[in-house]
Amino acid sequence: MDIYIKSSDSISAQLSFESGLPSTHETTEEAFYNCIKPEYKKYISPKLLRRMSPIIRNGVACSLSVLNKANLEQPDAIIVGTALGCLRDTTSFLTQLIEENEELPNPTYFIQSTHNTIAGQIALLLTCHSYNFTFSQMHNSFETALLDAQMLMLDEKANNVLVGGVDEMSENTFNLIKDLDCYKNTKPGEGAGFFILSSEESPVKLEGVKIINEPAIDFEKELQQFGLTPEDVDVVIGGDNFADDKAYTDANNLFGNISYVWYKPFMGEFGTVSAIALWMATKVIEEKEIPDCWIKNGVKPDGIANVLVINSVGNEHSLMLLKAK
Amino acid sequence: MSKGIVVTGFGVICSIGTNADECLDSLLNKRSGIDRIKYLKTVHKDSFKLGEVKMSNQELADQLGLPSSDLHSRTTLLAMVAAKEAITMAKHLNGVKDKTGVVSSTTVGGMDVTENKYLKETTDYSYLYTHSCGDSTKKVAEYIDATTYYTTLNTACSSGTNALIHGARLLKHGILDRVVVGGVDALTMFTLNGFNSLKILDTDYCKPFDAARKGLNLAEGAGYVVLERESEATKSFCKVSGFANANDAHHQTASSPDGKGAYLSMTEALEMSELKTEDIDYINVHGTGTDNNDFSEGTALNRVFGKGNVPSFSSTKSYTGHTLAGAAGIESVFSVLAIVNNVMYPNLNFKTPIEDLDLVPLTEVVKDKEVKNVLSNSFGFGGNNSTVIFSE
Amino acid sequence: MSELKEELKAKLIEQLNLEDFEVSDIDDNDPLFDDEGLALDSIDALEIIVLLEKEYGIKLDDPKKGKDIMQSVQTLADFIEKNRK
Repeated sequence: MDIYIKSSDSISAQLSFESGLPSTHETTEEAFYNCIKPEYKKYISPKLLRRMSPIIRNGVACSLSVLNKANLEQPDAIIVGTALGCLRDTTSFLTQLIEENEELPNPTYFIQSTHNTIAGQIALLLTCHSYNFTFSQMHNSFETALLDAQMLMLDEKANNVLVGGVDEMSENTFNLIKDLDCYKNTKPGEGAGFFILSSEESPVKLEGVKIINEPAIDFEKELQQFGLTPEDVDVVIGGDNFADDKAYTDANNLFGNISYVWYKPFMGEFGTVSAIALWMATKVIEEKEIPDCWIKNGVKPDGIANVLVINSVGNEHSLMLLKAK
Repeated sequence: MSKGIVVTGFGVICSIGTNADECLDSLLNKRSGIDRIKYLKTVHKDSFKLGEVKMSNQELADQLGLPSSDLHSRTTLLAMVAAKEAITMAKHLNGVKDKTGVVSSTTVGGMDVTENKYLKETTDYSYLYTHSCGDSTKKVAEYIDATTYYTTLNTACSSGTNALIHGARLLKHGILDRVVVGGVDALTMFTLNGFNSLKILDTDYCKPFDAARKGLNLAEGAGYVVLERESEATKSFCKVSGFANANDAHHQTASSPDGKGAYLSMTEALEMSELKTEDIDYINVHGTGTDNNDFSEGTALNRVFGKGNVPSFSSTKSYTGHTLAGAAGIESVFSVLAIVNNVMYPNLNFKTPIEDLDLVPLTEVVKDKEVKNVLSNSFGFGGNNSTVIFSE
Repeated sequence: MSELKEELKAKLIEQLNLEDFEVSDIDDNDPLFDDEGLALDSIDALEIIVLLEKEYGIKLDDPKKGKDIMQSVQTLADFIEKNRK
């Protein structure tokens, strides 16, 4: 079975929601990237919205948008990746607990602190009884969710899968995580990227996803598994977090002559930013062009067939490959 | 698609034992691990009973041969103990495999470290590294040398079975040759107060499936099984014959009165296994002891098997307490042990059946029957319902 | 009594994030858990139990008993008057 991206959307620090790859982007003066908030009420009733923390709002709104775009009422599976989950509610519950010496913390925070609140809320909203998974593996949270979706479809257990990645950032969270290595050179961020994967043919084909836990990426070896050589790649969507990261240095050298798009400096660094990168790759193929501001090396693409997304933090990397049908 | 996946190792640590042998001995001698609070720091020390693992972090680190317990959360230490037992068994049985990985699950990750350091006037920010759910899995994968692929499920209390489902797929698609699957959670102030705020903790010993049940006993532990492709495993303990995950889509935390999600996960797992309902010898129910879960699960059992035809069943949470993401992994190990040893475990503290359900769990150990097929249920918040079937 | 009811309304709005409500929108006898009224759910019920204990020192361990007490702001206020410490 071939797997296609039937619809996609993202909520990010740039004007991405319900739109294409924007023709301009802004860097933030703040300590971290906040995402641009959509009009949530378009998708979520006030009754439900009142309790939802930002990560749930973004996950749900982005999911409902891609379902709308795909004209799909019910997916055959809901699979979400989140690196740190519902951190705001977790922090609220924990703070209350400690400050008030374990006296009567509010249950709502606890209920909504579970990582699978997002996927669970989507199921509840759609009354969707199908397969419902949530993955949380730091910088590979979205990638392992995507791999699960791909395997589920290949096993013919699903034809339309809702899959996405989402994480949130707040002042509190920022104060907690700012000293982590991965934010040394790139500002933290937040956002959501969701997709409908479908067995039905459409312009963007998901060739594969590969998770690599090694000191470096052997690009030639990895591309070979997809029957490609580095020369076959037309566009690279590289994270490039300004850090001295071996995988990115290698990628910049190897792919210096083709269009090299970067995303982390404008979207921020967070566990599931690769979901936004995959959304960018999808748009590049759908729109057959890339606004200049996103191209790091100034090389315009000469035809777009194979787009490679690279995500790397420390010794954990991933590759995602899309093909124009 | 599960055809051809076998169990080649298992490991467990929980309140009734620090390895599979100890746990089996407790199960067969009706020895519960639920007790007054001894290790967890909390103001509720005298109010609740917990299923604690009776070892300090340093004792766990010593057993693992780690220089100090400071580098790891209790979650990670518990996971390491069970995963090591499991992989050692698999290596002993079928040798070393190239592509080995870990699919674990946890609901609160390194929260035990976080809550002890968070908000304290300290310059020690090491908890930042151990907080995320993925951290413990990564550490376990490195500890047992299984880093080809690792990831973590967090679907609340059904997580461990979902880890098994993802792991089985990784084998089928050739991404791994051997995978350690299951789950872990350490006891934390966070979860104790969380479940207390939901008013679903019993202050006494939990009474799963009893009419007078009042709630669950929170607990900690880890359980893992090792899966391999049958075609390449020369020896194995049993097969994974079916599994499924479905969503109740009823409420954020509560189960539906008609047990829709549980009904779906059980029927879909049975369908995959190609077994008939009467082929199931024993069911290890989710059976938390809460009013809501046991009624909903009981209703689903009657719907799937027919009233009066529900196979022998019990909730081993009456021994271990509810270990959250650890539960499905631990109960997978108990299910495998039931098949290997032809035993079925009793449900402790049961007296009176729930009105309208007419379901009576096993109250004594059964040793004289063949146990060929065991079905194990695990349900979680977010309407997340999972079932796995192990077969001889 | 009327002071207590106004106070309760404000606390409910704050604690349950009833963003679209003002104190003046809630009548004393509006049903709390009905779509005709505030359309609260079981999670809100748990929050109200916490509110009763925190603000008025009234412990309600069995959520099931809350049903009669939590019919409206009026029944809640009556209960608090009778039981507050």
